[in-house]
Amino acid sequence: MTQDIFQIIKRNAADFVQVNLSNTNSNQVLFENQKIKDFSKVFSTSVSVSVWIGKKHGIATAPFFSMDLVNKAIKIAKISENLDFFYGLPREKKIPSVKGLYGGEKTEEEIIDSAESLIIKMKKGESMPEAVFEYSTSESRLVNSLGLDIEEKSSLFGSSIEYLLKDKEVISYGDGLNLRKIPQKNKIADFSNRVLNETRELKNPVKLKIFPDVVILSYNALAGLLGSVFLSNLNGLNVLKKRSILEGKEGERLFSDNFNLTDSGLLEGGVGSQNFDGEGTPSQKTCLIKEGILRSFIYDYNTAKHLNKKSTGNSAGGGIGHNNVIIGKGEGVDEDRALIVKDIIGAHTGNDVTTEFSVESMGALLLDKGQKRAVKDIMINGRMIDLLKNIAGVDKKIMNVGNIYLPQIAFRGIKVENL
Amino acid sequence: MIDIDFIKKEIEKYNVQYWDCRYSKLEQTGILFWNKELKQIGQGDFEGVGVRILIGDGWGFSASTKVDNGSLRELIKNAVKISKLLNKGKEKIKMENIKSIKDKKQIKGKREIGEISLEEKKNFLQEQNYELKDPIKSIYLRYRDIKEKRFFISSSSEIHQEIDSIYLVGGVSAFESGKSEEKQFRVAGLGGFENLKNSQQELDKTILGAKKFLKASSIKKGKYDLVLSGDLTGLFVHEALGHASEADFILKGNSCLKGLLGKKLAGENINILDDPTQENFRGFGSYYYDDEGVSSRKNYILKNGKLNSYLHTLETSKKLNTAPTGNARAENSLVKPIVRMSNTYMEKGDYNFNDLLEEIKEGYFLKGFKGGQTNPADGGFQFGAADAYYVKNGKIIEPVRGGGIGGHTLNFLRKIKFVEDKYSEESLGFCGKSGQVVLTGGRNPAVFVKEALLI
Repeated sequence: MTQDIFQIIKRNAADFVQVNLSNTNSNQVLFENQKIKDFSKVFSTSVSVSVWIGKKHGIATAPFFSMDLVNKAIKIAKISENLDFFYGLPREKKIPSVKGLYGGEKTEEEIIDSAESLIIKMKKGESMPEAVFEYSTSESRLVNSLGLDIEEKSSLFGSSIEYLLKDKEVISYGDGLNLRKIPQKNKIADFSNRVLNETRELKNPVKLKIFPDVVILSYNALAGLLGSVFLSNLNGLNVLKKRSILEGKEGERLFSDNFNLTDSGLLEGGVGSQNFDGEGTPSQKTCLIKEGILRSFIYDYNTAKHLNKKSTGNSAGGGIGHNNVIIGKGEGVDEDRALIVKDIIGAHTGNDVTTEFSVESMGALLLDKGQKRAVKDIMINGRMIDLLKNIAGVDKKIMNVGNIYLPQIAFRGIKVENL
Repeated sequence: MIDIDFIKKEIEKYNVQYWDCRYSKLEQTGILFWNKELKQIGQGDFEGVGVRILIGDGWGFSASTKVDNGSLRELIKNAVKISKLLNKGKEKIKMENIKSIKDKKQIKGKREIGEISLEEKKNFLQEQNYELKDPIKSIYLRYRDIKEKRFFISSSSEIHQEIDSIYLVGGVSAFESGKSEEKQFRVAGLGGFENLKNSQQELDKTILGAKKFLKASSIKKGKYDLVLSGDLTGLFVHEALGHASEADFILKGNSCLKGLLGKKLAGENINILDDPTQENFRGFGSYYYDDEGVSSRKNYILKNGKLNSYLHTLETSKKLNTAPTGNARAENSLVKPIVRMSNTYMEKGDYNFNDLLEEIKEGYFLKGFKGGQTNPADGGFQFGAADAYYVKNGKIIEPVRGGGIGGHTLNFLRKIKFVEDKYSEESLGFCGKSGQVVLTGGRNPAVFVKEALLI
């Protein structure tokens, strides 16, 4: 294949060629009402060929590589239009080897055996309507006409579980676990027990009468809101498109000094870690916000060049995307009275430019002098950019929600309303 | 293409209770214009096959993008192995029997998308007329067409369907004095380019909308009488009621509609159905056969306000002792069919639109949608509206920013009082469930909702 690509360049059919290849072996165990319902095993391959002729770009994809596919991409590039800018492809060959990306192949028997640890003892009136246990292994390879030919082997584990409690009213709550490797069986059972206990905490909810000044956004709620209304503002492509509220504010103190945010592709065993990005740029760690000061945005090779910056190794899927988003831990949250919002629904109804949101809580607790009481029908509203200036406390413990690694954060200024 | 005789012979080697095999082949074109510049143009092919095997109470599914006989043999072996591993022999899963079908069907455009050159498709987008003038900062147009071949085989059926689909999604962003407004439009359909005939008109309306709403004041949240446009009615019908009526949720116990068949949930004038047939109209979610080989049919979820039916696969209909509804759908052959909607909509009523507005003393008219989420277990939902208008004494006074509806499905259904006398909006959806996305549609009337929660 590499020779085929060089031939294309030699006969001047294209100026640059990049081929991304991947094959994935995925396994999914589906639970229904505390029992395994089915198991899916899927093997898939995918090849994407990108070709540039001058500033004209063409893409062709198929399950397998062939010269026909390359010729199709050339044909598409010829009828394309000049891009606003194109500076070439990265040629860096020193690629890091991030630890903990690959957990090895597993047999169906091993996967089922581990998955069954999700089933734990429940009380009367409690059920686990559905749960998913997934494990996939992938091999990806990137070849370009500048001589780059790099490979990566990785795996991903994911599980989600939902519990249902029937008491005076139906309480439904769920959570997920995302890692690179299948955890030990006792850790899987711990996850299942944690979600069940958190669901139990939500029993017998009451309407909130006096709204507290402080709202603690727990892991899922905070990750949901950051992902929907804030993180896109740190994307270099949105800076270029003038769709970032943070454009032109590098070096400015914009947030509370206990707010730190880093993008890293190097985190050991990180769900968003990788040795290289979609263009072959080596992964790196990029400080985006330090002690409340905006330090950088994330870039791919061409956007960075255009903005006179360096790529941060964030090329993803033809655009720019985060690797692992890591929010720094703090000294702890010490509030006497606060509303804890565990999860939310409707995060994507928020405005990702102004960062305004208005969402319903899905699992909320009133913390009052060390005691927790479930509350229901709560709406929270605010503007994330303002809230990050009003951080009342950052917790010490970090958990991950997908590729976002974060602590719980207590905010002042979130408007709380009853539905 | 796959070797059908080979598959049948391979499966016959094993003692299985039920099996089916699905093959799909897709040819896609995608084009993205952003601020009048061509940002991305590409074509993609996909081919894959999946085999589902049932032995006792063990379901095994194995799929691959390799479709040669050697890979098929391996797939079948894997699926059988998995179903044997999961078969505990306690209770046999039964599948509703259906009649065997051998058929070929297709939905194509007046001019097939495969006959239109890539250049012509690019030119069509380039010819959309708009200006990037303050406060409009960015406009994107994302085009995609898909030529899809689906092949379903089981011990008794062989069904070949070819369905072309096409869509254009446009987004307009306006910014001024720290305010931003983003509006979107979709034109789409099954078939060909004739589905995009209103693209320029929709783009013009969207640009005007972004400018108009940028200057608007914000809504005042609270309880109001509301009129929802047809597309917002469609969103409620699909997300809040439709998902809760999917029988897999009922069987898992996490649907607010469990145990309510035959119960009155809404007024006599409310009829809601799921209809993939093309008898009355061809929606974005239409098909001839579902992915278990069941012919498409019309199913009333609510009839005269009473819960009439859930939506089923062959397994769920057998478990709940009812007739199949033809709602087993899979995004492609690499995933299993699950219960999905098709075209879900409310039947039109007898109020004209102005009469609906007349019912409002002080309230809002909400139009279009901007995301949303629902929890079928407790019926909680939240949907954003794209546009909102303040209404006083039956008259639209002014556009307002923000707005959406929230609440619980069963409470909200009871609040729908009057229904428009025509289908004023068509729904064009990409519905996600269990990681799979399928095309869904519908056509819906506007409705008047008494004392609804505006969020």
